[in-house]
Amino acid sequence: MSKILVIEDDLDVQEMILAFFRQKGFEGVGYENPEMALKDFAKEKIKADVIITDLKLPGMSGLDFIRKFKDGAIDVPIIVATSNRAVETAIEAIQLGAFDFVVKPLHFPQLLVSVERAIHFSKLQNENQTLKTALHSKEGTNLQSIIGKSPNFLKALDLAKRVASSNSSVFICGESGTGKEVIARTIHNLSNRSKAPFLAINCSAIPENLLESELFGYAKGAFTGAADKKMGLFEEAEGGTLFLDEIGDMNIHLQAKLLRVLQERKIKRIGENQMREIDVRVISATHRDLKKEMQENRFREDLFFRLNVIPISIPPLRDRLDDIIPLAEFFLKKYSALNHFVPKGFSKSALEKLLRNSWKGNVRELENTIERAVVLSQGRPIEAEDLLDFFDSTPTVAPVNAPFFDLKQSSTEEVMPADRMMKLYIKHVLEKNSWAKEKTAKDLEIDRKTLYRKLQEMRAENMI
Amino acid sequence: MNSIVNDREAQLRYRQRRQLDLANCRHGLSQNDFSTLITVGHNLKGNGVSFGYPELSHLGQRLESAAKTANHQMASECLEQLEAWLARNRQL
Repeated sequence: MSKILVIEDDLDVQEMILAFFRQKGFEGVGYENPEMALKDFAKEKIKADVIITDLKLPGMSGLDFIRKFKDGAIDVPIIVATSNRAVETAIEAIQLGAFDFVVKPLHFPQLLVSVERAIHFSKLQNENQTLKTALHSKEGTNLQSIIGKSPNFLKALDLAKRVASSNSSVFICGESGTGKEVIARTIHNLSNRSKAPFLAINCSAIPENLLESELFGYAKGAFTGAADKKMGLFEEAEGGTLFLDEIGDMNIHLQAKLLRVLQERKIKRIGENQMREIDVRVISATHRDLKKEMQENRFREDLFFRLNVIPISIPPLRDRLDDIIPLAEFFLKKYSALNHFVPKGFSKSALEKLLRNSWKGNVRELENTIERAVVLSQGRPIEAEDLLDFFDSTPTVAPVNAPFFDLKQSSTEEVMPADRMMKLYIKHVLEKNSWAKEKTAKDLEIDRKTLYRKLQEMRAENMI
Repeated sequence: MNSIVNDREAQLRYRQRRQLDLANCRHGLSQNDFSTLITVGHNLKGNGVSFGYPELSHLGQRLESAAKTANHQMASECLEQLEAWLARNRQL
């Protein structure tokens, strides 16, 4: 049963409100004096899901009541009742944090709507907070949730833990799929910026112009299609961390702009002259050899030194043999739960195969392999055959960079539908990229949504 | 508007508060100050029905109207009717 608290010195009105809401199934309590209500709230003598208060109260104005109530960090929606002549004050009350206002003489059905909306909003806020907390812990706030016990991985993790509290730029290098973003997120979650946003962007997945507007934002009318102003990621991540993944793929012109932002700690939205100060920690990562990129003038040396204050190197999975089985078991549990199976483990031969594979696509490839194996095994223990197609030793998988289709060798009588041909090619590129979907979408120059739609169709057609 | 307050105790408290209104109005009328009468009449008009007393709302309307036109005699009659109404309903 929802509870309302009514603060109103006109006892006729107070009793009317309480009686009305009791008839509607609410519990209610009334106060003439706002000070008393605050004291009882502080002592937890009373609880309420929503507060209705008059703006003109004895001893303390309704506005002061809202200020003191909000100062006490009590999160209960407040609805203010005001006379027609004091609507301006009611607006001030909303600015102070009141949920809504109603005008006297009270129209009870309207007040009921406002109270129900306030309670609904409050519930949504609580749910949102609960989900955020759950998501936060899922995203690796807790170091225990990161799987890895091999010494070279623990060394990288230890370094990440030690640098978390500083504000220095961190540069993470490691092959594709090694978990660079997981480490970046862990650094953020362990830092004193953890309450502010952690935003990640893959610099290789977005065209140059779009990347610039994503990073720095733009003013209304800055370019065709800029119908409204937009905040960039640097501004959105204010107080938090911005993770620039695959920075080695960033265009040289944009690198210069990024360097200036990192030096000046100020950004300028596209089409604007105003400089805006930012407080963002930058963590960057790449799978490329940046020394080689610098030698070939594809990456700015000055930007590299600016980013590479604290380098962290994530070892590839083939150098973390101790971690393969724990990771495989973790993914088995994850995907079994998602597919409503009870995880039955791996057969001995499956475990041997997992350990023998070179895992060019690293943890991401392992995850995709286990996901597929879980679906194929349909709840029984995972056998070596369930893992077969993914391994580069398997003849069914085309070697990396092998030609996909040889028209000369294909039969001239058999005509393959274009849609099937396209799906086979998508599969080929996915395998080549160790099932990294983002990279595949980029290589194919298609939108990620399009790729996911095609994958759905391919699953339905048993092509994957 | 229909009656909102059907709780007998709340109705009793409401009637008791009207005794104070009556005293304030009498004092105002003796000073030819109609402002209190206007406020009381207006409030009675608004909340009488809500507490289950439509006749009081009607009386409030007349009191407000008399006070607004500074009609001393009519206002006095209204207060007498209010006093009689309170006496009749004291035991309810």
